[in-house]
Amino acid sequence: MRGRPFLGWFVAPGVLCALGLAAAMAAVLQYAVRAHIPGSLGVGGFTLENFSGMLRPLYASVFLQTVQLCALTALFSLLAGYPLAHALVHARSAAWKSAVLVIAVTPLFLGEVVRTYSWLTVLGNSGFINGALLWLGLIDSPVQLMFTRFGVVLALVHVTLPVMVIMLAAALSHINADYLRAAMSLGAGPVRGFLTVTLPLSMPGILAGTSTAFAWTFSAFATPQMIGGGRVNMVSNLVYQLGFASFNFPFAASLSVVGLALAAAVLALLRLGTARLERLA
Amino acid sequence: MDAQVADMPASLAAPSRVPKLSVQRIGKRYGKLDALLPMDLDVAPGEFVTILGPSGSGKTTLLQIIAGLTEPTCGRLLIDGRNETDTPPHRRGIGVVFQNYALFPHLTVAENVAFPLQMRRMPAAELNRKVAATLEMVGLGGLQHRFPRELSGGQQQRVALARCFVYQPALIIMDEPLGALDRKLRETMQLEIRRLHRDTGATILFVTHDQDEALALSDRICLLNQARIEQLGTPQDIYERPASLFVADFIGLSNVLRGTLEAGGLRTADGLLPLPPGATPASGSLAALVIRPEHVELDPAEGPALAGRVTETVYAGSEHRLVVTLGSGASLILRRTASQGSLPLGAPVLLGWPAERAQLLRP
Repeated sequence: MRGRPFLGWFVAPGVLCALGLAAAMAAVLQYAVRAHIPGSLGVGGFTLENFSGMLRPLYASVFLQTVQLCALTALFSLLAGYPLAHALVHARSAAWKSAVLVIAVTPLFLGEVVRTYSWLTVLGNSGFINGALLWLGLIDSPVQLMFTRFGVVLALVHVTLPVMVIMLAAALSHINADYLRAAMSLGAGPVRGFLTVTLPLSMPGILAGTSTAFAWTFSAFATPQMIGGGRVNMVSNLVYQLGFASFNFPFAASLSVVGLALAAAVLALLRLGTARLERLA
Repeated sequence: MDAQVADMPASLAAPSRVPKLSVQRIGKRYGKLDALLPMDLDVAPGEFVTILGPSGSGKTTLLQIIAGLTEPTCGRLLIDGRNETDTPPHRRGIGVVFQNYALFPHLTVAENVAFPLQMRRMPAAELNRKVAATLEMVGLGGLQHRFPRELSGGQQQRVALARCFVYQPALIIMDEPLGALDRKLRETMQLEIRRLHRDTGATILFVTHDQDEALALSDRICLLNQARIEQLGTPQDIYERPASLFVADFIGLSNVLRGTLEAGGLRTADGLLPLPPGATPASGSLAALVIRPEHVELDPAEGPALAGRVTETVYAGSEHRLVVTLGSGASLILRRTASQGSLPLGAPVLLGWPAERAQLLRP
């Protein structure tokens, strides 16, 4: 830094953004401990009632459902992403590699809303899946896919898949190919070589990918809103309803705060449980 | 001349019993590039063969083909007389020690060494006993719970050796296993590898680019250059009877005098030099005489005497090396023992060598 003082100014944009985020966070925290005045956008005095109100079964079940949906999404995103990442790193032909890359990463170029709309045309009662099954005569009436947990998780996996694949591919490509060669020369077939060498060595990528997918899904809004249609609720949808349908900003703010804390707690637990594996990185 | 150069004593030819490893016309092409020209190599059971060559000469390609980690473009690979060309690596039962050791970073020393035994589903009690015994053998008892990154380079090398020797493969391939170690440790590990070879009776194929290592360790050396075998023979053979100027130059120090063959000997810029006995070359062709520095004598009693001046002296501890520049500008290196002492720079000298110590080679 010495002798180049102008470099100090380069952090200014970053500092401005950080200040903006901190101010927004402070505002949310501040709202969370204020009383709601029905019929008014203003807020009353200091109170902790917002938090005690959250203990009602209705809200507790939404939190539980959110954690479940996030966990399922992270799990299925991992299961779908691992083979893709493996193919991306180890495919011999360049054409096959680019095909995998396109399949895995293009969803990133579409906004979440556009991606979710595309699922409406696939999952709807007259959508692609039901249309195909009806035409094949496998079912007599449309199967309910919209407004189900299955539909929501499917769409969320699609949202998180690109980042999962990129993180897994980064981890897999950092594994020295000699480790697998050594395992094979020592008598491990392809399956055992994968299970005993590749899989444990890719654990840092698995943890990073699932954590990111989990945290990202926790804040997902458009997908559960549109595919869930009010029947599959996550914390973000609840915040939206309370904030913009009931205009109860204090309660919406306190829900956000608790959601954030819950996400952090679950991720911390995940870290703790896998601390031994993390050492490998 | 060809006959003299190519002749190999019968004892060096492949033994009559079934070779442990037989490379038959194996070659490898990458696109238009020949990584390995079709070659033959037989290795007898219990033999220690070093594959030596400069980088890019095809050493690692040959080794990977034998280990099954690379597919050859042509040729057959026999192990104990069975065709194993298409056998996947984990069914070949060849032990491989990798250049960078390739120890599994997520497993402890003991788990690394136990790995090949687990792959062979050995019962736990026997496995533990073998792992402990092997670690003891390579001097690593007490370190079994460490992780590879907590070990020094030499210790990692020992773990790699233990992981290979623990399941007693009959054929072991080592790819420049000592490349990353300092000189002192290299020499210790060379002795270690020799001892393991003697104790286990395994057939070992050892890859290196270090000629001293090759000379010190091997029963036979297979010298590769530009994707083909330049010479195959005992270390003594290769050092004393190099088959080409490349070999003479690659192994040890050599003096090379070029000229044209005529009836009485080799006509060079420094005069007519006598040929080694038994050489019956065709007159008029170009050739070179190769003489090792230790065979060059000062003030020779017989043979040719070339006049020159000392232009460089190098002190190398146990010996002095003198560089003598001849009248033609060609220079010769000779060795003097410490007790013989050095000579001052610029001193005029007469050089010669016993005619039978010179090698006649094509230029």
